[in-house]
Amino acid sequence: MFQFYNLIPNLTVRENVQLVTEIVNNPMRREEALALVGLSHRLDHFPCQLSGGEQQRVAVARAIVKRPDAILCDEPTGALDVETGKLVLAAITRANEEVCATTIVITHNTAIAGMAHRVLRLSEGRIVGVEVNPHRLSPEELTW
Amino acid sequence: MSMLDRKVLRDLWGMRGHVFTIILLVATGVTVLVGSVSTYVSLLSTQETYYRDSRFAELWADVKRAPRYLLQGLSEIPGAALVEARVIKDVRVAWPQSDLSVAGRIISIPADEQPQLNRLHLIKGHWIDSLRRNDVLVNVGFAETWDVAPGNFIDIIMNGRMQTFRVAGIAHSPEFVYASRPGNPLPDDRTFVVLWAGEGAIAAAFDMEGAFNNVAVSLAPGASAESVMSVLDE
Repeated sequence: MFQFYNLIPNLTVRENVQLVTEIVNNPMRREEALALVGLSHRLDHFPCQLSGGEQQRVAVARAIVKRPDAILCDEPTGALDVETGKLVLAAITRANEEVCATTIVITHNTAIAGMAHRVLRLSEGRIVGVEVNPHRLSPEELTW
Repeated sequence: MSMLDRKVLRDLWGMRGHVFTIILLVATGVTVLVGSVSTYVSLLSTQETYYRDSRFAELWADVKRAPRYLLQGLSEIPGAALVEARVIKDVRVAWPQSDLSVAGRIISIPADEQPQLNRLHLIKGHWIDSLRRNDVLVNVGFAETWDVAPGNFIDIIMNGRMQTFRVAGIAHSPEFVYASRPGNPLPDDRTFVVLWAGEGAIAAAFDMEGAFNNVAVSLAPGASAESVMSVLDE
């Protein structure tokens, strides 16, 4: 997943998700993936008709529809306001739990670390600290 | 239909104005190309047909004066299919309508029949009459420029003596698709005329009876022009 979504502007939400199902074996149903991120009501909208948060949730659906073993999220909330960011993080959390894919969120926003199982701190390309969260927060509980 | 195909179709539809313009441009280009190529091929074919039907000679040789009995030897040159001897002379034409002097080239042709090589296309009038020594054919370029018609008379200064010829016909020759006077590469139908007359009239004026000063040769299929030319030169 990318910071700026990278959806194809002239394909609908449904088609953007379908696009990646054409290159993998045994994908999830596209409607199922979109339901996981709470976008069942926006299937036939084009990206320009969606908010930034909705577009990022389409990107989450696009990532999980392949039933991946791992999801790498690069600053998924970097372009979003707090409330929208929380919605996206909730979608990522749900996808992580439902698909059971190892999910790595790269971020400069340390508050997001509160929802992780494990936090790796990086400095100048090296891991400088590893923490395990004994009490994970839900995305709704995060503040920044 | 795959999603990428659908994306491409929507992209094309989104810029349909550009796409239509490009298609139109390419179609126009292809049309021009096809038209040009077919015109070129057609012209080549027409040229080939014209020269073949006219039995256009492939080699020419000029001599000062050669007796006719040499013709037999020339026709036996290996590779030569047809050999035709002619008398060709540069003349002057008294043409009062022109402010400039008019030069001409007079070429002998058989009376009553076409030459074997370099056949003429008669545009108007009739072939020269064997019974009329002063019949002449005039090339179409000069005739059109000066409104020369069969039945007109033309004064030709041959070897210093003026002789009056009657225009029997207007003709076109594969040798003179465009006629330019010697030394001038540009066609000049105002001051240069090609004339075809019976051999008797020309030979008498230039003391060429029983002789010729030009020979036209066509090659047998597969014959080498170089080898025929070298034998011809000898």
